[in-house]
Amino acid sequence: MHRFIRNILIISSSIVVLHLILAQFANGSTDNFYSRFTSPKQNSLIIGTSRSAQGIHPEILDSILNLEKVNSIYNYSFSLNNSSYGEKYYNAIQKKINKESKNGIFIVTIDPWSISVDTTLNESEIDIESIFYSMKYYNSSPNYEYLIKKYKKGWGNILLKRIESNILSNNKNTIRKINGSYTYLRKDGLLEVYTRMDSAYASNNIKNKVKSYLKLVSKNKFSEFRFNYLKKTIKLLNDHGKVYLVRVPVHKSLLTIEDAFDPDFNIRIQTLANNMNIEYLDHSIYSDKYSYTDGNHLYIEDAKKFSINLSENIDEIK
Amino acid sequence: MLFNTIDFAIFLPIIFILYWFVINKNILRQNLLITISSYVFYGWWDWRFLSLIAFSTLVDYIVGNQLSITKNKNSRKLLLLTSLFINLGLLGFFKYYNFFLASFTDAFSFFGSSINSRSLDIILPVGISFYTFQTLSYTIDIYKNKINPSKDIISFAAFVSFFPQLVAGPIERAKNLLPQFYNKRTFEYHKAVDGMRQILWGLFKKIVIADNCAVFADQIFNNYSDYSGSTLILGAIFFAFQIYGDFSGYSDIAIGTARLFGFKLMQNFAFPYFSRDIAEFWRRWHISLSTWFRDYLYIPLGGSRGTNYQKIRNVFIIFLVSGFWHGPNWTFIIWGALNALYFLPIMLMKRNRVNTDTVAKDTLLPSINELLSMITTFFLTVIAWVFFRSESVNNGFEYLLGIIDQSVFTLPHLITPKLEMIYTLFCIAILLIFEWINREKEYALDVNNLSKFNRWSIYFTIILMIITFGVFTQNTFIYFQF
Repeated sequence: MHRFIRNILIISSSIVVLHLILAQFANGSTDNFYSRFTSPKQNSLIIGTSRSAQGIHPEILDSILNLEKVNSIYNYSFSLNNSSYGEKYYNAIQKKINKESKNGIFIVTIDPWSISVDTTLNESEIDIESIFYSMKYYNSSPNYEYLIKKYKKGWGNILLKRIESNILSNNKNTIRKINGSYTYLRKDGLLEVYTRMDSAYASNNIKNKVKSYLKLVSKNKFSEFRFNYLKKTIKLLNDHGKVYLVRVPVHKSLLTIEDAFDPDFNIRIQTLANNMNIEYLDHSIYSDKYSYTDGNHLYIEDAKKFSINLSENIDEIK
Repeated sequence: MLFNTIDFAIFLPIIFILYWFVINKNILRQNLLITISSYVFYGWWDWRFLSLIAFSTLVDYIVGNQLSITKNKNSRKLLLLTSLFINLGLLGFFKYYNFFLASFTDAFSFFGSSINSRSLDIILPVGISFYTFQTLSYTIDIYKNKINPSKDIISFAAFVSFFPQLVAGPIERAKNLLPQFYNKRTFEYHKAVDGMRQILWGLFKKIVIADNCAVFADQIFNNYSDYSGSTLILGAIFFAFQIYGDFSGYSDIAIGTARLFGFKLMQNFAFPYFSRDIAEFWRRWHISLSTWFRDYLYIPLGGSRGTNYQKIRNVFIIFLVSGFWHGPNWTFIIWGALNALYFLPIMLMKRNRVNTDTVAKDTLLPSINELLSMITTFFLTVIAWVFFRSESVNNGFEYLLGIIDQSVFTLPHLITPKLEMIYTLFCIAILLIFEWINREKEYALDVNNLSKFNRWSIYFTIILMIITFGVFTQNTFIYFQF
């Protein structure tokens, strides 16, 4: 019996030690969210879904808006399923924001989906699948809580992804060919997505995205609950600096669906902006200017262009 | 409670320590602990259904004891029917009520008259098909005077609810498992190590093989109209390994866990994908259910004796019932029917017991003939799995029609993320290599004959593979729904 217990303890403690070591390797290659749970508290933030996570380059805003290092902007956008406006995202923002911050810049991106809700869900069921659900720690590195609760693979995969990332980040064109797409979450929170962009592949992606958003049209509706949390979020951020409401451009076919889904969206947001005394910058009107990986997300090079345009727009009205 | 969760990783050592260190001197306490921990294990999922297990236990305990003291044939028959009615009644209500209701409604609508029906929002109690069959076999065996009834209700309750195999088998026979509860278990190092090895191998099959294959199988099956014939074949192969990894992985963990407590459960899978014909496949796949149907349905019906008509009828009955056992869906019935069709020719030609030994016995590699037979059998089962996995019979046929297309001759479309697909194929290759090397043993990680260094190297390699390639989303086991 003692021999058995001893052997089990040797194996168990080896596994625990191995995991402690593996956690040290976690970084932007781990998954699309992990690094955002390890960064320190911030003075300026970009808030929203995957459109802004992939579409707004913080370093471009920092540079054009001449933000001091202490106020440099951090992309704290996630994805529609995780960071639609609501209680969970609100709490996560509250925990990420530096309480002392007073002169920050906050880009709050909005679209009809992020203030809509699945009609089949009760209010208590909203966001239970969110990445923030049951999370307590948002600023620790390594974030063991995140890795235990949210990381879906074995922790050995952290090292594997890191090795893959090191090899493939130097061969981005190759990875597009062999892996279809490759993502890396930068230290400033931007999610870099490298993917094939040949016309057949991109148009197929757009076709699939249109299909999935048409499903959303039949399932979702505008949500007072989410809209109130959007207001609450803006109110919170207003206490820490200047807030800009931004609509990120998307492919025309998706814009058409959005307009049909919520025809009053722009009026509603403009009214909100007026009431809260903030600016609403609707960049969806420039959707033809950019190319998209799947219609919903700006291609990385076009995201740079958009970030420049957005920064200049903010700079003008600042 | 699922085997692949933190909850179970905490639960198991606690029970193990209590069992071997605190109450190890008393058999009654050991059995009591097993019963209580089994109820906790099951109640973790939904405590309301504990009453069903308790009720089933009580009914079969009483019926069993009454059978032993009743000599009158009619009274004995009545007792047996009572047990059958209660057990199958509960199973039928929870599992099949809505199916029969919908089928009747559809049938009436087909003939032009509509009837009002009200389906019930019934939750299927996990594992009901498994423990029902286990208790049924107990009563039937007593009725046939094959075993004596249990006089010890605690042992009997532990036998019915034994947590390692309660929710997804192996479906044990009272003859094998019940006597083990009558004897005090003592700790034996080699048995415990053997159990841990089998648990490790089961976790590898579930977390690495099944849950990774599920990602690709789901993607292809859910969007089958978008893919080429060759990709659809790949999707069906992924599902074949998903269901094998999932179910046989569960069985390995169950058998290994039971071993830790000093019990020996029956082998449930014997490397089925190395079968050379479909009869051999069914001797190697879900052995505890196949033999249950053989002993309690097929043989009483006459088995392979009698006229050709009777033989064909018996084969169809057993495979259709087997399909229906899996769930109230026509897809399972078609899956059973297909297997019956595969089985019939070899049975009628009396070739169903040709391959009873291990393939390529005493040699490293199979002969060309054996290899071709294995590949053919594998692809026949893959075709049948298409119906098992499909949402509806129509989807199953459309999926198969998608394969019969010239695109079947193109290279399969690699599903994104492609690297993960390649890792999964690599893990499947590892699984097959281990299984092939140890195909004459009870499970593939039975490496007791190797040197200590090699054994530990293998353990750590498997652990590293689980840590690196494993999916830890606490995916439930497929067979829980049955």
